[in-house]
Amino acid sequence: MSLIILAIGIFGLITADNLIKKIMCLSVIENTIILNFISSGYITGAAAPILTAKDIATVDPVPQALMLTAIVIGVCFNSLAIACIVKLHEKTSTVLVSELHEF
Amino acid sequence: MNFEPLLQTLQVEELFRILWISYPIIPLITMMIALALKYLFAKQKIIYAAGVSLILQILTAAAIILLSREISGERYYQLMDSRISITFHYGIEKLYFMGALTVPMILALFRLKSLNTPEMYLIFLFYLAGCSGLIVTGDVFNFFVFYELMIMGAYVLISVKHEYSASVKYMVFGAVSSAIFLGGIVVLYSSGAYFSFSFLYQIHDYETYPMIIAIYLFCIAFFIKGAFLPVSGWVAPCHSAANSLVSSFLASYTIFTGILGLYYLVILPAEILGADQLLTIIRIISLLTIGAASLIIFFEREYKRVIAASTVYTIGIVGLLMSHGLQIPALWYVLIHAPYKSLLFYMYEEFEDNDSTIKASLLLFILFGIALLYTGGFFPSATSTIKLSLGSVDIAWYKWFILVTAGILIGGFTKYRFKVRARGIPSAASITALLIIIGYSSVYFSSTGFPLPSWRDMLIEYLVLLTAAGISRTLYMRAPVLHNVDKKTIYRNLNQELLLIFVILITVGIWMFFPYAG
Repeated sequence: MSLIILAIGIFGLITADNLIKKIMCLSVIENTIILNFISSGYITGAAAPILTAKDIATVDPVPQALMLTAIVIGVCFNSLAIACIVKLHEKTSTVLVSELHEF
Repeated sequence: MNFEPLLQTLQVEELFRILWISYPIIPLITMMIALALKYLFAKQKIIYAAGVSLILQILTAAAIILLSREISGERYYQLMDSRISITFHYGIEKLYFMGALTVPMILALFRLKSLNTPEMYLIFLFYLAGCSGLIVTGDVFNFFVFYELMIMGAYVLISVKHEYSASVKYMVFGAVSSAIFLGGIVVLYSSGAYFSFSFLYQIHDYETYPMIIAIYLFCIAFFIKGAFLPVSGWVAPCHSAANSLVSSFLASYTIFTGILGLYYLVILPAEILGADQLLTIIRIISLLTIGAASLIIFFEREYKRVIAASTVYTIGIVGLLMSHGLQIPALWYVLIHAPYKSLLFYMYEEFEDNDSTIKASLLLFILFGIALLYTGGFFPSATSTIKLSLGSVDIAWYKWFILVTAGILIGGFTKYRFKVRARGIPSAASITALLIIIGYSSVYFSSTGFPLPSWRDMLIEYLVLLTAAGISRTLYMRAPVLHNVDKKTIYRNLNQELLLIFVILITVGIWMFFPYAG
């Protein structure tokens, strides 16, 4: 499943002419990696990794903790990228790669 | 018993640990104080906060470098007693990067006002936190986090002159490389390794195949971050869009963090695992980067873009040195490159650049000549002896390849018409950069014992360099068609560049994993 979503993201990134679509595709690619990492720590039937007195199996907490950071970074990147594209549009009246100089 | 030496050692160790860990925290704390002053007391003191942060970081770096003489070997500092703790790492190699970062920091003190707005100063502090965190971090995931901090700051700083297209282009490349890097982290974890750099010591205990895939993904990510060919199309527009302060940070340090990652996460593990194909790939890509960068300079008109392209050339040389196990010359090159490249960027603001005619005073041209001496690697510059350390590799044509491409590079730098104007003295930033060049070169020559080549060799090298420079300059001046080459024929379209990244990813992957298929 991750591979299919990854392929869609890469295809969109390479073929899209619109910069906003490119940023969305980058987001899809990043989320695929996050999904893949979190699922690698999943154990069927295990509980959430919260410390309790009971001795029960929990899923691996490391991927979840790390990917929370990656999600925050992804959100920051998206907002920054969209802000820059809006500014670019204000200046050049386009967000199409084919119409932008230096692209 | 005399406990004095032991006590002294403990104090030095403790002081060193505190300084090492606090190095990236300084800009973050000053940023918090500046924000508090702005929003709680409505006082615009952010420029002073940025200045104080720079001074504190420069002093901390100086103290670390001085204390490092008492520290032998590597150090791992964990924030808690756990395998998954946040880890800081000290190794002598990191001091070279610290030295390279300190150069634009010192020069930034002279041009801090060029950042213009309070928000830019805050972003600058944010950027500095990322830059310094990359040096001190000791685990792969925090390397990723600090890298993101740094490049997010860089995206905004590049648009300081409201040129957003370069910023967006850098963003796309940065995000692609970060996604590949994150993919590498996922695969590294699946091999059973934790994220501390110390995984290198137990690398044979983990599953080899996922480890090789992780290293391969790191390699591609750092090729993009380090602007190796063919994904160096973002370098020239970004330097052109930014002001001198930001350009000097980008060229002296930010691009070279790709080399830092390549060293710790690709070259060292590949050498331990015996993954020679990976080192061969780095060699080929580095040679292509050197050749292509010198040719791209040939087609560039804007002087700042020429300087930027010469940074790509340096990246190629450093990659080549490292892939041949010549780590120390490579690290010296990173260190010495910082002041002379900053000097070129700061000097550019003092030039009058009018349609391929550059006007400056005689003093400025002398400074320009010194920077060019280093860029081209002419003897007796430190870069000349560093480049020639490739002669220790048993491949004879390397030396001639480096000399010819360096000659073309010089041709590119001198293809303008130069006119001496009466007035104009070098700025304090340029003079400081010159003093740092002299300082770093003195340390280099005193530590290496001034490796003097024979007069005959030197004469031949000079002749080859000057001939290549002369031919390329004449060709450029006599062939106006080169002035009008469309940039898109050189740099390609963004979509084509992205396609190229994935083609390389697959092609290199097939070549790399073919020996493991059996």
